[in-house]
Amino acid sequence: MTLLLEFKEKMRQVYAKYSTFLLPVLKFILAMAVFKSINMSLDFVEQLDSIFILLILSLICSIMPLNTMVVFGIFLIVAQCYGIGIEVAGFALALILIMVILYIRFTPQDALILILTPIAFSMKVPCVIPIGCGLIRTPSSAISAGFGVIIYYFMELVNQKASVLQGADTKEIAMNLKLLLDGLLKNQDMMMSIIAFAAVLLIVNVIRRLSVDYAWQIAIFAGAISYIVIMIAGGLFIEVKYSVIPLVAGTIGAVILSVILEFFLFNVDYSRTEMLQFEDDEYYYYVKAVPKMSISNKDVTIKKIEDDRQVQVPLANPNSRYDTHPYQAGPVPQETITFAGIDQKMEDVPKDTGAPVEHPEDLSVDEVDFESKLEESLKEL
Amino acid sequence: MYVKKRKPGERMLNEKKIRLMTELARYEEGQGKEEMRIAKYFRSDYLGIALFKNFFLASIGYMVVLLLIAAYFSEYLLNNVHKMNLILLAVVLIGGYIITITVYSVITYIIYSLKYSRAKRGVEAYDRKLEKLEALYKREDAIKNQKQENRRKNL
Repeated sequence: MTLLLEFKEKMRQVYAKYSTFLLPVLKFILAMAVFKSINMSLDFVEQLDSIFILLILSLICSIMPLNTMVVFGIFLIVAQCYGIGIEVAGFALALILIMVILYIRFTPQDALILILTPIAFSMKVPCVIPIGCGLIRTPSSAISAGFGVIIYYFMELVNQKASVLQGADTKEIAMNLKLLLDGLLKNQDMMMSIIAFAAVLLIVNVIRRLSVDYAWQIAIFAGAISYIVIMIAGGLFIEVKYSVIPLVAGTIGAVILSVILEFFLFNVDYSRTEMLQFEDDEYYYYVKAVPKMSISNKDVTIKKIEDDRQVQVPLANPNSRYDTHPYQAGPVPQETITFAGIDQKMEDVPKDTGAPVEHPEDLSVDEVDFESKLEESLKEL
Repeated sequence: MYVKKRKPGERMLNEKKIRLMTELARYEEGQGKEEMRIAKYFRSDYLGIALFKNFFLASIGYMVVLLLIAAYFSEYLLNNVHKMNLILLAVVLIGGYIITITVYSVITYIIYSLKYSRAKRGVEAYDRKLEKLEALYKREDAIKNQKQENRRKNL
């Protein structure tokens, strides 16, 4: 555990120190992964899979806002579809246009989900998307995640039916469009995934916002379990049967990725260094704002209470719990330092014994000899 | 070269001022960029532009959906267009269009109103900090003037 904490601290320091350079590098890697995965799923225009094009696009994405990646990703999907036929490209464009115009434009932060979902599916860890969105976004992201699922299944469909769709003449274009729409609307597997995504995202989001310890971790595990349960239970009702082992293995992978994501978001991202420049009449200021680090107060919650006062209580009832368990001095977890325990113990003493029971608070008052103290002070005067 | 020796405790830079300026710069670089752009508009203008844009985008969206539906039923449409009640079809399409535009306009109005009020709040907080900074400058100037006056009196 100590090793992990040290690693965490080191990571945080490295990130805080080099975040200015690390962020573009991370964005570059992500963009490369996204574009490569799209080209692997849809491999119909060879020129687009050229390493130079991928490098150029990824480099642009590394310095531009994240949504640039989405635009390039959509461009790649449409262009690859064009390799099959203009109607497939048109259909892809129409599908994405509907998603963007009717929903994504209100929540542009969710746009990245559209192209990350297909990657998660191709890496066999789809569950990471609803868990991740549940952790960092709002419940409304369920709609965006659903759109991401639709894009993935569309790409799958195009890949599967490529031979049928290719080389269509004017008469077959309408047939192809019908085939694509049918393939999406009647895809029960896709519907099941959308339902599972929405449910998992909502569960994770609700648990994450609870004010309990380890809410984030509990949310991740609850999300993973509910994903497995929903998929298996759903598989009983629809024609598609899911094999349990890949599903569980993928979900475990998703949990690991989510824990890493949680680590980065919860511990590292907020410690981002900022470089600011401003000036006044006298100076130019080049400020490097490095957020303060503090893990010690979060992790250690043990308080030592030393109490050598002996509480003398007349033994009215030898079997009384209060008599047999006098409170002890020693390390006490902070959460337990309340007086509720003492009060409860006092209540535990049988009231109908008729014997005088002396309260500890009263004892401390009686022990003070006020008269002698008064005399001493008078003498001093 | 003359180097002015500072007394212990005397600072060249006013930390409070720098902290305030850093906060202001952070806001300007981050969410302030968008918020200050929004807050420049009057509320009615901002909402008007948003609704205007929404009208076009929602219309395009509706047309794309219609196109897809038409493509899906193209065979049926081509075979049965002479039998269909075209007036009823037009009424349904126009009704659908009006409903779509209305629903999206309401959604846009709510979302952009919230955005505007959030931006206004952010910019107001920014302005308050600017006022604080101005007060700090004024105080600094006053101290400088006082020192100069004292020096003149001593001479």
